[in-house]
Amino acid sequence: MAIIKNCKKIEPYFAPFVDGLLEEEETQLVQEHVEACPDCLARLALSRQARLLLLRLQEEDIVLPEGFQARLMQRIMTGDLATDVLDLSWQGLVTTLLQLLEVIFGMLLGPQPATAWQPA
Amino acid sequence: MSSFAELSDAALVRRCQETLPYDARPFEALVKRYREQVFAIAYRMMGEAQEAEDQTQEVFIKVYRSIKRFRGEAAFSTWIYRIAVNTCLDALSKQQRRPQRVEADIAEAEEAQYPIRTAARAEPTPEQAALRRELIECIRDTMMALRDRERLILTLRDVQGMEYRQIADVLNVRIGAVKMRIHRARLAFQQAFARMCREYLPTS
Ligand SMILES: [Zn+2]
Repeated sequence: MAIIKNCKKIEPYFAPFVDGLLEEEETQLVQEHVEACPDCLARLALSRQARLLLLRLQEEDIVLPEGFQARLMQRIMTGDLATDVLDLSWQGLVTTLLQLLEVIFGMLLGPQPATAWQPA
Repeated sequence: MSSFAELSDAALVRRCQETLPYDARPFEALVKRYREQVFAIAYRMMGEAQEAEDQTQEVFIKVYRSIKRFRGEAAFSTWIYRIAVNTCLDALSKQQRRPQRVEADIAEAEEAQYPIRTAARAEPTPEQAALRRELIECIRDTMMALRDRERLILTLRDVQGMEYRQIADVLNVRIGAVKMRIHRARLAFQQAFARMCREYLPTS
């Protein structure tokens, strides 16, 4: 492959180069360019340093505040959000009614036991 | 019901569409599956926990409101990350409390010795651990000094470890544009880092 002389054309290869995601041939293209272009070599070095530093943030454990889901569900259930998702068209109401019945029957019948009860 | 945990995203979404608002369990299972990831993105974008929780709640409320209209053109994960990204960017542009990165801001931060904390050495922890914590804090401060969109793409790629393809889908741009933005954002990061965290630069 011919050497890419245009810096703009080689630039899209830099991120995947730093991330180690280029094919051998593309890696060679980048290497050949930066050997002849000190500006891009400098930028590539900076880019790699940035990547290495940013990866350190992965060491940080980001912990979801306790009770997050309870607070969310509280907001959803007590607000008018629950009715927001209702489809108030005529067809929507029929579907909704059918779904409601399904849920009620599901609850009445309960989970189906895998095996029938057997006397000891 | 523990069986929700075994369902695919698509199956859970279908359940939500069938049962909301009467039965919220499939929705809760989806929240459980994505809350940490969404919170992590929000935390990196907003810079602190309370703001991050507020935005994470917003994200799931939006998901709750619109999940019935979700048609599955994109993966659910892509869809929810897109909502997360847009919610955070909106909140940040409304805040406007933090000025965008310009030379003057950086100079000002430098003058105020913004991220430098030598006092932490007095802590009883081993020096190495303290230095490591300081470095990470400085990296975090540098992130907050970047433009929102620079911080966003670095968060998705380098901190969350998302693949180019998914980033392109989430941001709705071509994969070539993603690669360019990552590279440029890394350069911006390194420039800001050099000014704000000079003492951590490799001495060469
Ligand atoms: Zn060049």
